[in-house]
Amino acid sequence: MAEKEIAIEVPAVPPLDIKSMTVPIPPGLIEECERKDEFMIFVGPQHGGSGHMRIIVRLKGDVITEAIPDPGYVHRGVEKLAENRLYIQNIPLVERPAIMDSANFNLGYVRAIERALDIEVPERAKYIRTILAELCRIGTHLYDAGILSVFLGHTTGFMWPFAMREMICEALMRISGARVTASYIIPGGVRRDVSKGVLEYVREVTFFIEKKTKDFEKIFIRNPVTIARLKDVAPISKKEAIKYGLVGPFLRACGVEYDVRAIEPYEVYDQLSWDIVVADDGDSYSRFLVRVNEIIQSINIIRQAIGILRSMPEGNVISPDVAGKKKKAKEEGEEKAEEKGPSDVKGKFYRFFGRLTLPAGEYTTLTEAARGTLLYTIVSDGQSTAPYRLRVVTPGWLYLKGFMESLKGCRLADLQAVYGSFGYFPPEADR
Amino acid sequence: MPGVFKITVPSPNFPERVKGHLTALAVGVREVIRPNRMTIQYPRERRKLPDRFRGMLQFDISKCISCFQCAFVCPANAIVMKRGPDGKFYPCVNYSKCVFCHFCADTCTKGAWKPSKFMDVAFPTIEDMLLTTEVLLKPPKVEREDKRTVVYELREGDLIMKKLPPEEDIIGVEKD
Amino acid sequence: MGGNMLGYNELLSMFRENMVSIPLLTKKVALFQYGGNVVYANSLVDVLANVPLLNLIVSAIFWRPLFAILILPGLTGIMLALLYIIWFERKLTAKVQWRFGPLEISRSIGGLIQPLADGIRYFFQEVIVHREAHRPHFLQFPLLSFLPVLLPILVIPAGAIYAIRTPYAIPIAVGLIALIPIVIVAIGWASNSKYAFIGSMREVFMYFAYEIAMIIAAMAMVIAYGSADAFVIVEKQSIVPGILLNPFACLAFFIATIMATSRFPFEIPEADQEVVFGPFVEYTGIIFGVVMTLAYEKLYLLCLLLSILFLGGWNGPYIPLGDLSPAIWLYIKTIVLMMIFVFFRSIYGRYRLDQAMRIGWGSLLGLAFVSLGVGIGIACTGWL
Repeated sequence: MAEKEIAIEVPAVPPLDIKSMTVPIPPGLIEECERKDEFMIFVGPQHGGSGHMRIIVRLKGDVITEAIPDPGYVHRGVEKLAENRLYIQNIPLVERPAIMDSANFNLGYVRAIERALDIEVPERAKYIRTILAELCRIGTHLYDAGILSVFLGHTTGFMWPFAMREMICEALMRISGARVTASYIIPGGVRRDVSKGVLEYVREVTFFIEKKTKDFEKIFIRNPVTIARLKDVAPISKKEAIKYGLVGPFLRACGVEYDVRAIEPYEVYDQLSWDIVVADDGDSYSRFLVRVNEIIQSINIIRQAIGILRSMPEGNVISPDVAGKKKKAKEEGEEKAEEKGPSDVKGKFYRFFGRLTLPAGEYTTLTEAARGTLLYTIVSDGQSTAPYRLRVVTPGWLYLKGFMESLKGCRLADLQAVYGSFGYFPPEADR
Repeated sequence: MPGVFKITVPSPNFPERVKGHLTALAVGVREVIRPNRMTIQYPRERRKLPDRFRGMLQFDISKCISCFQCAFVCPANAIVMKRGPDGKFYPCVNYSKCVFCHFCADTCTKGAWKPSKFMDVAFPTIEDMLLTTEVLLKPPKVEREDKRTVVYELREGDLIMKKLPPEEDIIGVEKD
Repeated sequence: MGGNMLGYNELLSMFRENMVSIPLLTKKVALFQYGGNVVYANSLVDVLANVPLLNLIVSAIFWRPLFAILILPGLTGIMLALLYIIWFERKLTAKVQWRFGPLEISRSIGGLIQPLADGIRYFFQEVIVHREAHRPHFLQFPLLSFLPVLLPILVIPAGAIYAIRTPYAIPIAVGLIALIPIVIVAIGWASNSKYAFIGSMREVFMYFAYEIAMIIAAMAMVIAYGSADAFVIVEKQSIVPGILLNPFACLAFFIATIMATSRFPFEIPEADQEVVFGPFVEYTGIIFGVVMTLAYEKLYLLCLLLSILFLGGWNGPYIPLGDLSPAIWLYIKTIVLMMIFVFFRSIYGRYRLDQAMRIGWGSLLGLAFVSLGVGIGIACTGWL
């Protein structure tokens, strides 16, 4: 059959007026702007100083009077995609929204499955998971510091955190095999054990980051230009922070002492000694400093966890509940079930998890991701091997409103500084 | 129950600001005089990868029992089973979909999927990215451009880049 | 045909009377003595003296005003300085940032011809003129921008190479440099786009911030030396350079130069993250290459002024190149000053517009007044 050419009419001239573009502005906004002598610009998705999100800004002179967000450019439908995949196949899927923070997203999802199936995770696996979560937290805070620097124009402050993060990516590679999205945490533990050499390397990484953070402090954090750009910019009071629903380190920077790891501890956070970092001012500089100090706290947690892991015997990183040994022992009438689980999931992955079915009901977990509270809800109908509904609420989506409200009254150049201080990450917020 | 660490936000006055400027300049000058660069100049240098690196997968057909479990577990549906000349089904991998999670290598009870240490592969067309079983059986064509291998070593907070002679076996398939 | 028209021979003799003297190119060089006579090697101009068209072209190039504008410290000097300083900025910034910088193109010399490669690449890019732009102005203003860049070179001398010798060289140069922001504002206006408009406004505000302080600092030095003629100023610095005489004026002029040429921390009109490169947002292709180098050309001019006023101009040991020797000394000092200015890219972020204006009208103006006082004090003592 011969190919036929069909001519299609594609209008090659883009529209000139704003009304024909699909932006979520309330009707009459353009006329109101012209009446009040205000300027409306789009800080759009293709902009040196915004992620993948459009912000519609109303300017009076140089002062922002209102900012309307237009998110959704990176919406990939994670919740809908999860309904067509097995429970175990969703692990790489839910890791992808916030790429640097992959372990925390992975952890929240897996804990929901463990809560449903009542699986007990061995101690060694809990410590390894905590180390992984804290490494990803440090990685995300460094990434956000870099993005804040580049929004202020400080290119050295951009390159140095990314170089420090390179060591964390190398550590993730030595633990799990992949640099960024580890896919390492599975229901019941972790995929395989870590060796002593890898633990020593992770310990050395903490010393490296501590040393380089001191230099970074001198050149960026205590630089008077940075302080002048960030201090007293977009302050949020304690009442407003609670009203707008801020989460995570941005809530703690306004004076509220709330951290999911302290309120509802999971993994081994209640057995290690660490501090919540709180500030009083609520402006951009405190939001940034809270995250820098959280890096130091995470380094403490990692060092304590490595110290405890060194003294534990190796092996036993997958729960015997999952391996089916307890059930088998109960069937054969033994009193004491075998306590030690396998140390490597190789060869048994599908047998353990392939036909996983959760009992009917709703299971919710809260996790403290690097940027705030992360909520997972799995609704299962009791019979299928794919979730009936997976609900993910990411921290970026939760504090978007607070971010937009704090922009009122700032100057146009402050938009980038506030954006960087909030560390808004559109792929995470849009899922 | 963790404690609370309240941070003090500095608000510098004039002499502290001058000191801040001079400290920043001093750090910059020190980095210029003694640069510690950490770039790996690919492709002349390659990084030394650990043994459990999740690269492309090599298939050992003598171990495959056609159980279909790798195709069932793949999160991206990248493994397609096709019938071979002896009547049994064997997997083909579509590398435009593969996310290198190595669930298939962890699933195979006989260990037919072996992880290897390379990931930087070039395909001429998208149709070529679906590697059929015949293509998977042949070893990949390698062009070596590297002259050194770099290992990142950390000692007491300093980064030392150790440059070693190039590795002989760059494919690095995991042995049994 | 009137009798006032210059004939060919009159033109030739006008050129040959006022030539820059460089041995082997315009002046004869004595080689050795042989039996009471001195044997000379003929210069290029003498060799070509009787070739019909070539002698006019060669003597026109070496004619003093044209040499000053076209070769040194004019167009060729600016282009070479540009090629070097862009490469140096990228390499220096890369050193501070733990990476290498441009290295691929000419690996053995450290990537030195990278800016040239970039410039050639710009020639192959399409120049897009968008729908709303005012097309003739949009395309012509970047090319017209060379005019206010080359005008101050008319009056700034480099040793014996000058175009116009006036006793008011410094004020004329400072005044002509103030024409460059007008071109930038016009470029932003011709683009007819919101971000270009915001960038142009920022350029105007920044101009108000630094101009007064720069003029006062320059005038302080003129008062201290007692004359506005560049030759007198450089001669008086043979004992003590200006930077030691009046360090306040040097600091004020230094900071005003950072503000004027959009160096970090005052890179405000062309902020890449805030206003998407400001007035130059709509430019692509070779015209983008031209406007991108506008700030560096302004930096070159201000560094020329800085070296004449504060670093002793063209004083330096004699290199046996005739008239080129003081010019090369001035050029080297200018390039060293430019290298210091581009270092700040790796240390600082950028200020906000109102903070920069506060600095310009607050601390900088105060410093300029202090330097004015010191300059008047030096003039009163009559030491110079």
